[in-house]
Amino acid sequence: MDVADPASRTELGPMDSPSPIRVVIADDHTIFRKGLRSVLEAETEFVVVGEAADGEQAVELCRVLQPHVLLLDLVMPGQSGMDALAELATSPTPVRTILLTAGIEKAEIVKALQLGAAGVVLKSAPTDLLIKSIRSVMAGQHWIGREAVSDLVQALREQMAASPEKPARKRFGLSAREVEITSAVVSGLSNREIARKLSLSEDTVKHHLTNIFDKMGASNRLELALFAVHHRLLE
Amino acid sequence: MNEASTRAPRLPLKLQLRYRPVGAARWHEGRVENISRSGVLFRTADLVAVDEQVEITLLIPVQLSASVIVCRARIVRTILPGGFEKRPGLAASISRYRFRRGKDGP
Repeated sequence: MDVADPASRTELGPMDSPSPIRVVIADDHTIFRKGLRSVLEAETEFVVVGEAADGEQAVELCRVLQPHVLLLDLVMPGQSGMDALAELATSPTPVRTILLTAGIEKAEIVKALQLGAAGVVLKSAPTDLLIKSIRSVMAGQHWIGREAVSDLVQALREQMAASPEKPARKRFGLSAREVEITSAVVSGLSNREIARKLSLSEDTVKHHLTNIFDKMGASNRLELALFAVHHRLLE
Repeated sequence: MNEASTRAPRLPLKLQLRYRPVGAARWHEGRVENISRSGVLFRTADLVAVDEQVEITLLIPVQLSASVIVCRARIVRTILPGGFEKRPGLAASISRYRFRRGKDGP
């Protein structure tokens, strides 16, 4: 854990230029940390006040140094970036955290935002983008790579769809018998097998299927299966 | 009627799939990004050429079991990795399919 000389952390007086943005870098790769420090300190508006090599150190540095921004690697030995984020979420430390990552799943972005991350930046991003992201989060905004936003919206929608607060499942007006037949179709049974299984005539099964396709708006068995899974009709 | 109103609805179902070029022995793994009755877009590390005919097997969860849908399809498009999606993708047009019971994959 590296900490800057306290003198360099002193807030500038009112007659001086605005206080620099105090940054902590958390990444397990020393060379990456040093490189990032050089990039940031080439800009007069930033001062790197500490470096951490894992999530635990990052949380501790945030507690002690009260930086404005934490640049947090997602994958680190010991306590991961996500673990650190979870811990920071429950602490009173008012730090804006930007996740730095080589790659991230949509669900992880959603989780990170729910835990209070202010931004996500890929390590492959240009340095000026990282600097813009820090300025953005300091201005109270969230920063997610533009290309990821549509993915993120999709991920949020999926998560909302899967949440327990979701309204009752759509059943498309299907009767219990029709749900039973839909389940049999999705399981791969033929009309004849369904008829045998449910003690119905094959014509009756076909009649039910016509109604099911109409109600679901499906045009074939494949689409019916996909709709049934999508709307969790068979759960 | 415009194209948008006639296009089969795409569902964002995150299903596992396997695929292989017709005649090939080895199956590749993929993950569905969205799917309709006529096509599927999936992410995979193993690309095949556009216009290649492929067999695709989809694993459909049904309560505590699963059914397998075996499709014949043609690759119509490749999608480069972008944003936070690190794997390229393939879009395939489904020409025919059949259900196969049981959860055993290919």
